[in-house]
Amino acid sequence: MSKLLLLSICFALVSVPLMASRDAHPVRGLKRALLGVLLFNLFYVFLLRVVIPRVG
Amino acid sequence: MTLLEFSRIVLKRYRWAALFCALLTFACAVLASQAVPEMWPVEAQVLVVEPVVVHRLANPFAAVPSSPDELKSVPELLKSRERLVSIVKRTGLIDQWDAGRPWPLKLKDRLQVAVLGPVEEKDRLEALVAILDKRLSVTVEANKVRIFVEWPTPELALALVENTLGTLLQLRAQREGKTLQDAADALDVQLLSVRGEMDERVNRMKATLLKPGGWAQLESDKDQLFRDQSRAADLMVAAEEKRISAEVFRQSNTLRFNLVRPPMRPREPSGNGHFVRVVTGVVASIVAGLVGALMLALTSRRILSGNEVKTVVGLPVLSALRQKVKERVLPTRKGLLLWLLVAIFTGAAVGFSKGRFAVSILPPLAFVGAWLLWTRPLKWPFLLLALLAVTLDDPTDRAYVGVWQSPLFAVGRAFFGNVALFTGIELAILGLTGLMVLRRIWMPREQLEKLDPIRGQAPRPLQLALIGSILAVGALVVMGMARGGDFREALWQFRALLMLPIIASLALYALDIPKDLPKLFGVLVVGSLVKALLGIFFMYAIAFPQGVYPPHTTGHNDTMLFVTAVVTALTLFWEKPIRRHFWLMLLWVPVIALALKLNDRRIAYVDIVMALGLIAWLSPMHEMKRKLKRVAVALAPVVLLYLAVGWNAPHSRIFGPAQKVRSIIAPAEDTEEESSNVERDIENYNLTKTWENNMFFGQGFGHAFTEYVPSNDFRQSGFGHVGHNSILWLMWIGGIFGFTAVFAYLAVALFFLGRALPSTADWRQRVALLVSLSVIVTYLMQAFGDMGTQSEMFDLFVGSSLAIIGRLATRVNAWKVPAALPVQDPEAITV
Repeated sequence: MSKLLLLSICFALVSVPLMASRDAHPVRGLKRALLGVLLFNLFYVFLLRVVIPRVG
Repeated sequence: MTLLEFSRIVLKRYRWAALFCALLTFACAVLASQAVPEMWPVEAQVLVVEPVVVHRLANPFAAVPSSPDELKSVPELLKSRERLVSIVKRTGLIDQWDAGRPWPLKLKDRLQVAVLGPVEEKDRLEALVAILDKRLSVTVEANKVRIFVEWPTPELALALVENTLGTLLQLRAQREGKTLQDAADALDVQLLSVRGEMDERVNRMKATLLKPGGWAQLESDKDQLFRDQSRAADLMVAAEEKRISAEVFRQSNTLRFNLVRPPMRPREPSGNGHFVRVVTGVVASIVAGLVGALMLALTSRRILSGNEVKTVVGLPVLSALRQKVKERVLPTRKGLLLWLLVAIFTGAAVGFSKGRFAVSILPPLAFVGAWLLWTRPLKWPFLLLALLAVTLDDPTDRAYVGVWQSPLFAVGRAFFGNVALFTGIELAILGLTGLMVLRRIWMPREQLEKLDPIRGQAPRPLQLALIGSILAVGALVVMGMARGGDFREALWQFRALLMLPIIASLALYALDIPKDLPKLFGVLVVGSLVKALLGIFFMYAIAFPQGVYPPHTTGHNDTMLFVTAVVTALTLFWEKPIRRHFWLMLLWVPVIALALKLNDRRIAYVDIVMALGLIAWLSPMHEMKRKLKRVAVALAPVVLLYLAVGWNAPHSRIFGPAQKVRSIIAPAEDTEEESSNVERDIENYNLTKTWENNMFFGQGFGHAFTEYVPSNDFRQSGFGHVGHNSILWLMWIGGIFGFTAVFAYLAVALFFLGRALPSTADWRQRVALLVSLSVIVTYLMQAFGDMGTQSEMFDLFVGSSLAIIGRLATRVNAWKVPAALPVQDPEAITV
């Protein structure tokens, strides 16, 4: 489980921009993609510091 | 018009210029050869063998000394500064400073004396020691020591080797004899101490003998005395053995050195003989003359051939009139300069290399190469670079585990090895990038448009993200250095990361997508088949017959090549299920699959499954997808059952694939995979723990992470400078913000891929986009699992994929706002 959580950053880096690309407006879509990736990366810190140590 | 015809015209028009260039080249060659002294080689080889019989007869109970480990230190000892100074003094090199010195250097010496005064002996000694250090070579191969020197006079060369040889014999005699004597002396000291204790004990026993009730103490002392006596005897024997060994060594020292090649006075200097030198000089001069004439013709701004008429006017030439040109054509300044440089460089190469053909012919060829690079599309050198990267052996990736070298090894070593701070491939990339920048700055747009596909570049956000990544890497280097990082370590860490956006920018500029897609496909097919066949040959013809079972064949980095080949073959059939693609898949995939199996990278299977899963997810519903869905649903229970049964069947061949799946997800205890996973977990822990110091902005390049928990892989990771998990490693270096900035171009590229894919109708372009997605996924997975961000080959794959995505996105207007939608900032969305 912890390995999957660690790997989640790769999934996010691929899936977040692909999902954001479905936005009808390209500029808005790109902003969402970049912001989404940045937010997930910040969330990853939380995963690493709080969740993964508990899951083991 | 053929090249031959063109050369004929050039020669006809510039025959005198060609002749003068050839003569000038020859004159330069003669002059240069005078400036370089002749070198006289002398070599000696010594076989070091222990005289086992003498050792056994003299000292049957002692082990025969072994020399290999000790021999390793011989080159260092013989070439130490003290030894070199001693050799220089003993051979009287200082007094013979002028011997064999060519006249230009003698002239330089005289000028130096006239201007700066006489050179001090101390400075001359330093200079000679430095020269000797460079020219004297001492190498050890197995039990053989080779001493080689090249010197301007044969007598001095011989004296130098004889002196070094003498030092070698003396050195060993002194060192080993002394070591044995020291050991014997140490044993004597111990013996004396034991004897002293024994004397004290005897005295105590005498005293106890007269005391009442001292029998118990007396008994104990008596036992100890016997033990000491026995120990003293052992020590005496051991010391005697050492002394005998030292004496045997001293007496038999000469027997140990078998001079298999004694130093002899050389009869001829190094390099080619005079006749070969003259022939090489003549050939190189003729080639230089031709190239010089070519340079004049190319810079004359005159039309010489029908092809040029076609290029300039854009119309074909139907016929040509043969007419003798009477007009005198004066060469341009640029042409004259190039003509002169060709002659000087070629002459210098012939003279300085003493007629080595490959070196002599290099300068004129380099001029032609530079001219071709400047006047031909940049895609050709880029594609050549990609082809070399995927076919050559990569010694840095331990190709063939060091057991075998393929015929491509020598070029591969120069290509992937370190040349000057950067590797050969990196320097080539940087060179091409420099050329790209020069062309954009220097060349008029009309001329540039005829050469490179400058129209239809990638959408601006992707270009900006690539520049942003380069800047982010630069900022992290500066930050790391400011925090006391080591630049050499930083260079190892960041160069592949820096190369990726550079390669992507180069590919975006040079490749004309979709026109160049077949060429990229050709590179992939040739590269994957060459590597796969070499890997298979290595295993079945070299390794297995020798009883060697290597952990991989061609190398870790070839995972990208093999995975991309498999995914491309399958995607071609997926997108266009025609007979040709079926046969292509049937012929190509099995070879690559066998190579993948032999290369034994578990992560490759994960890459393929993930890439194919994503491709299936992104593809619109079509006949093939529908069928696959049905088959998948029908087979799901069977697969699950197979996995469940095979999970605990480690030695069954039938359940081999199930075991492979288990080794990836949850390897069994006490297996190699489990041990590898544990090591990775420890390293990940160490990385994340170090990262906690600065999670948002990172540490910067040039540092090592802390080994909180000891790990066997710590040495493999450059003692903490490079992590196997490149994602966590980069997060530690750049923090969240640095990591996002460095990899933002991947997010931007995937965003454009997502937008371009639904708008692309052509199946070839769709396949290219889907394979590009697979390349990015493989890159990320490899980065997560095994230092994926440290390979230039990965960079070439990802860079080319970004070029495909960027160019195709522009082609389908993926960055254009639909007319009906409100636009907030119209300027920001122009393509």
